[in-house]
Amino acid sequence: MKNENNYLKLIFSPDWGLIEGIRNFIEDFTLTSLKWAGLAKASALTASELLDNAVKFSSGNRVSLEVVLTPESGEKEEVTITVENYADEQNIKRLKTTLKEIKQTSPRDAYLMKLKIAMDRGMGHKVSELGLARIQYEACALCSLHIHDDNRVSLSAKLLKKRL
Amino acid sequence: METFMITEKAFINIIEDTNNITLAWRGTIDSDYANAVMRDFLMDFHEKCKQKNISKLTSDFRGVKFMFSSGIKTLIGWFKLFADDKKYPVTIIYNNKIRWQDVTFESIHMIIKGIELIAKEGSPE
Repeated sequence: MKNENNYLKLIFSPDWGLIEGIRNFIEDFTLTSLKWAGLAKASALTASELLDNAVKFSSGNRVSLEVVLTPESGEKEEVTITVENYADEQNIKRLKTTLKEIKQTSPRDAYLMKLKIAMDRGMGHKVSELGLARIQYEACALCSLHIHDDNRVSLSAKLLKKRL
Repeated sequence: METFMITEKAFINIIEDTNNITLAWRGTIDSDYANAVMRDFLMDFHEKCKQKNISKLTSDFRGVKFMFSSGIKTLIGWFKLFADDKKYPVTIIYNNKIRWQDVTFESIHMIIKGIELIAKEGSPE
């Protein structure tokens, strides 16, 4: 197992109730394969936030989650998590803007900026917009976005053991 | 001691000792429903604390395994309420060995002044 990628793909309906089970499963799957709790917890958080985003903003009835584990030796172990869903133009635009904003500064400063915005909006505001900034800082994830011609959104996060 | 159930996966023990109140949180908060219940409880609780003229509020988060981002948004909004009102001092207890707690409460502490932050291992009593 040490020299091969471990891989999984799940396709499910955009349902809140499924996220906790998937989060726990991703943590177990990553821990079993890579034997490092810090990376497993970061993977679980990342999957959870990306799925949360997909469930909230999906315009279709399918969300897919793909996890690829690369169990290299030493510090090179990495996890790539990709969530795909369909979204409307407005949500795609919002996602692009958020990603651009949080990449303009350090992960820490981006998270602080988003926290401050959330604080100023108050408790009654429905959307947090914290998720991507949070995984970038808390899970040290490197996020990337690809929009397909048919409005399918692929949002990926790469986690490296050496960054955690 | 009273217990407020947020969902079947999360609850808050409310411990009153003379004029001090401790909230001991436990569980996992990871849905919009849980967030809405938590938000309504915290807004109402803040008003009650002001009316009761309490001496101190301690909120112990060490028993929270996971909180999704919408829950963190609600927490920072709640902290802002009592930081603005300045009606009673607030202490936050968290476990800095649990990464979400360490990152979240250290970050919030940088933004909101006037809240005491205590890092402590273990679980709430």
